[in-house]
Amino acid sequence: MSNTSTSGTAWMFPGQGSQTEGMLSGLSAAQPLLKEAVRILGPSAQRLTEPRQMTWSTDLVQTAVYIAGAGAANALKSRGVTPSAVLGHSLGEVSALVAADVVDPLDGLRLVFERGKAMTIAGKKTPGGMAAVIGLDSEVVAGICESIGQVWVVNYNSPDQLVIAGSEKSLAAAAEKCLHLGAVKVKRLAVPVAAHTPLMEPAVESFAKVVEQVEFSPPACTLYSAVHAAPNADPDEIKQNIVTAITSPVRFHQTAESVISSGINNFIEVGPGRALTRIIGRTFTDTTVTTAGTDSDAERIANEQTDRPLEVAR
Amino acid sequence: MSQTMADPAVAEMVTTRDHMLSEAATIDERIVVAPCEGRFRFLPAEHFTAEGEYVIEGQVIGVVVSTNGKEVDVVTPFSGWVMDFMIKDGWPVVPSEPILWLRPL
Repeated sequence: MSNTSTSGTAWMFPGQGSQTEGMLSGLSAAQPLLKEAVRILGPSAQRLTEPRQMTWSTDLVQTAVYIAGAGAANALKSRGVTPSAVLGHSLGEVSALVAADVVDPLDGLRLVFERGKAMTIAGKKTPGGMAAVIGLDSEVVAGICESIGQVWVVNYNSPDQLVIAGSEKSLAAAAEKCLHLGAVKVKRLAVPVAAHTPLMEPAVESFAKVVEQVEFSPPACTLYSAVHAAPNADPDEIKQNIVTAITSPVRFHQTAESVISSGINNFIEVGPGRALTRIIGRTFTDTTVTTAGTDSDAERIANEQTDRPLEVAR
Repeated sequence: MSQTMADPAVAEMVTTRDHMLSEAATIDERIVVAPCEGRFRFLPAEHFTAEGEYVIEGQVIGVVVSTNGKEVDVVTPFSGWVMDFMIKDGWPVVPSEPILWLRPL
């Protein structure tokens, strides 16, 4: 096993929506965490071991995405591959904390589960939804949201791919206006809450209490927060950010820009799917980006890293 | 990012809301129908209208290729979220046959 230095490589962790069929089965490093999830979270988590994801609730999907991300990170690390920076998209920020050794993987599991629970309860108190807006400038979309109220831009994925969230009425009104002003598409996401908006405020207090009970260590590599699109090394501030993220937009595009401006041009999407790979590949054409969602991916990266640049996936 | 999954919390909310409104039940959904006889065709990929998308009044959501080969646009008379298509690409349709249903603002 080589102890490969991955200087200049950022690991990015996807959030809900990136799940793929069988994402946990090709990842042996995820199995111990999966076992612990079933033990800690009780009988409902038993479904995580079933191949049919249609039976999974949102809480379980989020847990599975986390396990897949943290497991894939373990698969890389166990082969001597380590990141120089980490960033995450929405719940992927918790996986990033684990990859940066800020929190223990089991604490990460608890954070994801409690975060999902708190957001579901908040969603009952203040219902809403989310929708992707394709092909309209972020300032225009933000202006539309502001003029309508109770709807916000919540994901800055790329300059022409945003996500808005808010109350049902406001979301539909914003969708209508976005299309009238030239958006190519506005598509509803199957997320039953208005995540990353002030409507999630009821989740903040209970999640903050859980976060307070978890030990956060200084990161072992540069940890980027998508709340501020900037690195953060202070455990107390990291705690604050992970709580604030519930009601704050995911500035993924701006965060990736920060990573690149620090001199890093190589990205690995660690976890299921290729959503972030596609975003980075299309937006930042001078970067290399690949995915690590399985044992074989980790093996390939460990073997390739010392020999040649990562495959460019567009 | 698209996926379909049932969330128990939402199911519970919907059930409760429906129960509360049961004495004054209204159907919010709207149906977009075929303008003529022929075969329904989805739009090309870049304009394809899929479940979950928001459409605005007057937007073309597909075409019907009539029996004489002429393409007739299927235009939605309502704005709203596309809930589902009720037919598949290439299926024969008759005038006023439901094509998709949507939930208006």
